[in-house]
Amino acid sequence: MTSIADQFKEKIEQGKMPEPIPRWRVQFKHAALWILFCSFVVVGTASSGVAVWFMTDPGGLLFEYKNGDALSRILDLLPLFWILLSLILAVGAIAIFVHAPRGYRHRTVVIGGAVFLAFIAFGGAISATGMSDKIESAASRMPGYKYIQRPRMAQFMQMEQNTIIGRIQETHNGWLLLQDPRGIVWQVDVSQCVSRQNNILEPGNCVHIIGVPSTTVEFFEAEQLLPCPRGVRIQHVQQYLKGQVKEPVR
Amino acid sequence: MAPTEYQNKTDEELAQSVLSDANALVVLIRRYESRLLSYIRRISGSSIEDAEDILQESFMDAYKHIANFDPSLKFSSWIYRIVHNRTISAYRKKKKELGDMSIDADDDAFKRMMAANDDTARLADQNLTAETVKKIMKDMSERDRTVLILAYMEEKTYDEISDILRAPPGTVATWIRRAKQKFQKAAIHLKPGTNNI
Repeated sequence: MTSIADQFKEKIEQGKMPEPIPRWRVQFKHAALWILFCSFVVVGTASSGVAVWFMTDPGGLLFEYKNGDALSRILDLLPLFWILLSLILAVGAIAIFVHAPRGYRHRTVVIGGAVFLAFIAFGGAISATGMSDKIESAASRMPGYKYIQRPRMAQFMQMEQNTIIGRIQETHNGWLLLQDPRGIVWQVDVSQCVSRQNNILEPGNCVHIIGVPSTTVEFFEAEQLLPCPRGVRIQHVQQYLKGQVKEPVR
Repeated sequence: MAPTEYQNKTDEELAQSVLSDANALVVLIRRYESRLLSYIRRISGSSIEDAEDILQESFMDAYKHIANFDPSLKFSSWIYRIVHNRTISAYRKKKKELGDMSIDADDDAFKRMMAANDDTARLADQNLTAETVKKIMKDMSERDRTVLILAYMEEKTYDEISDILRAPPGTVATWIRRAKQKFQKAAIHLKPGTNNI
């Protein structure tokens, strides 16, 4: 009986062997996978940085505009888009690493834990360095992001509940003029107000005011004065509202 | 390069030469043919003809994907992995359970397995035969059987088994420990002199 080695030798001599996959194709595939892995890690870390930045917003955490239960408050405050994006990219990065040539040598749970820890640690670092603001600002220019941002902004514009955001136009003794994103100018009584920042009462500042639920257009009684919540940018709100809002009723 | 010049090369060097000269593969096949045939028969219990078919297909796979071989790994682990996967998938395709393992009565490999630790060594002293080992192995799960064969019959290290089965070395160590315990338990029930055989 002919050995397998002899059968192969015969095939080689007769030129019946198929072409092996060229090395460049394998190297290209590996390089593409590692580039994809690195992209997932970089974008995932950036996303988790933005998520951490939102979640650690003191203004957001102090936000007491409605009497909903704790769970619904937490869900409202969680930047679900960024958390979901981080999770998807983390799972993608784990899957690529597990299937990498040497990935099987590590337990999936260890790889998963390491990726999640790295995302949280580096995300925290990105948030601490202030990069998250720039990342979120850049993301807000992408088409479609407004659909994620708008519901969050709308939460802060509920005067009948007790909350309003806007830009300070003028400050006076015990009151100020505030222009909301729709262009309406409000007179805000700040005489009973607690401010958490010394220099917050400067014209041009974007502020978040929590106060007495307002039933009167253009007048609001403030109890707390906070900087605008993270991710809320008046100019963006104005862009979103442009064309949607009719002239304010006087 | 003349085939005789390949004889002094390591497996890994030969594997790297295959892309430029397919004759290097012939030398590798000669080095691995018989032990891989035994391995296929041990894990699948297939006939010599079936095992040869599987091996031939495995070497063809290895040739086609030789660029995938990572020279920092052992070639033997890589080729064992291909053969292992081919064997398992061949049997799964046929929706057939793996048959009896193939051990010859004069095969020392099963004695090595018996001598793996004190308890099993004691069982070996009590004339645990190749037939008994075959019966125990037949009743074991595919994974238990594979790790025992790789560890004690093919004499692979944990790292090599990890590379062959694509599992973390720690997990491999756990699999082997559990498989050994199951083997010992079954051997106690099946040892000659009892009515269980």
